[in-house]
Amino acid sequence: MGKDGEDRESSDTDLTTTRPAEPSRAFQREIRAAVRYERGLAVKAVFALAVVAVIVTIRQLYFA
Amino acid sequence: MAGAAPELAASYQFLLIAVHFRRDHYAACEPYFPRTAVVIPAWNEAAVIGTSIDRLMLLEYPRDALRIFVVDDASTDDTPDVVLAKAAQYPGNVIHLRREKGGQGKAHTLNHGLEIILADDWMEALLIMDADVIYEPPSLRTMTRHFADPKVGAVTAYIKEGTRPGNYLTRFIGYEYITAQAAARRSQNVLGATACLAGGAQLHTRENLIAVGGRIDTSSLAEDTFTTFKTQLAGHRVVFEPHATVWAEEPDKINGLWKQRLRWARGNVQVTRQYRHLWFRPHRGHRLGSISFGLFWFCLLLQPLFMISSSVSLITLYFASFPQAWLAFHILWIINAVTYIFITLFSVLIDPQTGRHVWREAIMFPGAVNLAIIIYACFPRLFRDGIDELSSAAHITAIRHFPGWLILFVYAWLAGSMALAYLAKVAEPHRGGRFISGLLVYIVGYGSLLCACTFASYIKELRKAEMKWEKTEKTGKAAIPI
Repeated sequence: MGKDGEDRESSDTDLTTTRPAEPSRAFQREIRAAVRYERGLAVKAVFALAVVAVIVTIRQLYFA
Repeated sequence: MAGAAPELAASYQFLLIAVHFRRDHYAACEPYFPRTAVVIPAWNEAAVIGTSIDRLMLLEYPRDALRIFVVDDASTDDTPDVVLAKAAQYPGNVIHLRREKGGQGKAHTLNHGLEIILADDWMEALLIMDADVIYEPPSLRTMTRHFADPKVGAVTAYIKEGTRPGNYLTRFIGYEYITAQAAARRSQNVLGATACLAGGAQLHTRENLIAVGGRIDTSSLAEDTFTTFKTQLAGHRVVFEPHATVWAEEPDKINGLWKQRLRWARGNVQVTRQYRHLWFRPHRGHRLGSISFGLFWFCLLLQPLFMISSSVSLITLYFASFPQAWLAFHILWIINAVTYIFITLFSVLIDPQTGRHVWREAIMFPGAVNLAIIIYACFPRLFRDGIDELSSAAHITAIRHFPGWLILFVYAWLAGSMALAYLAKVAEPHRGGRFISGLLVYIVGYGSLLCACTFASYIKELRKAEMKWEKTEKTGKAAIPI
């Protein structure tokens, strides 16, 4: 071991790639959580825009 | 008004994030665990490589589908010993490859590993990472699930700044990474065009690697951006997976940051030139030529020129037509203010975990002077009342009307801030320099420091300066926060 390729295991082509026929519940839960987080970003964007709108309004009304 | 272009483009980019949930790639995901080869280029990485390997072995990924190839670029420290010890600890999973003659840079080192890995057919996916990067356990499987869609050729993760304990600079970088990665890459997912697969976390399918030539570009300093462009030009999709988190140690000194960013910025100039036929030319096979993508790319690349042109225009107008200059100044800075509030607030909300850690640097990102100008542009009465109160407290006469020199100073500030940011770099190695340079960064803004660096990259490219790969020093301070 230590030089290129020395002592490496031979090509393990029999190893099957796991691609389940049906995604597990845990996987589906994880995807749902990710999608929910991304949807939440839309709400956060609206919130950030609302804060900007409030600041602009206050400026126009009281500090222009 | 060209000076407002980068701000308007940035706002547009952040607005796109709001529709990311409609354009993300999760509907096409399935659990998928391809046989993955992890390739780590390493030159004198003894301080970090052992921990990185240990963390990789904790990945929630089938052990028999994971092989770690450390390509040792003729290290002169204990890197070979550390890697060999790990190879003995994880037999069959960790492989040490050594180049006896090194020093040619990351791309050459990667190519050495790629040649060997591609020579047999075991590998179905290849993860390119940096020696200091620490992967969270679910990160790899959250990346590979996108390969269930055969159109996807590459996936990148969200790299977070992980130096603990950090300092002011690493916190600025932490905030910058929210904007440049968590935010910008989501908007690139929406556009369907990705600027760069993060060098420390890029996962490719075997088909994609072969399609891009089976090699990493060695002609530039932005090998990761070249690979990203080639992937998309080959008709493969690139996906940013924001929920795959990896942690990296970033520079905690301005000079280290400068070297790293100069390399990146020069690389971007080289990519711009190499793909000059591509910009703003929509194409059916890829989205790199879209108007929006071109707008984001050039607004970032040319930001220093926008800043200089804003200052020059305002000063010229000051002498030609004072009222017009005053009006242009107000419009420009009100746009800056609105963009600043929206982006800062939204960024902290995009990644609240990091946001809690870096919110002060988020506020100070534009620097104290720019913040004062923003407050003045938005709330002139409030600003003047504040000056009046300060003046009376200090028993001096308040400034009722700004003198000409002060107005000129404010107009020149956008360009001048870059010069002062450069001083922060120059001052750092001297006695007391770390304090002074830190103070300067808070005054001129971290953004100006990055712009100064980009401007320096133009000069280096124009002078055709030697392309030297200057490695960022890593000390093993990166950790996953608990």
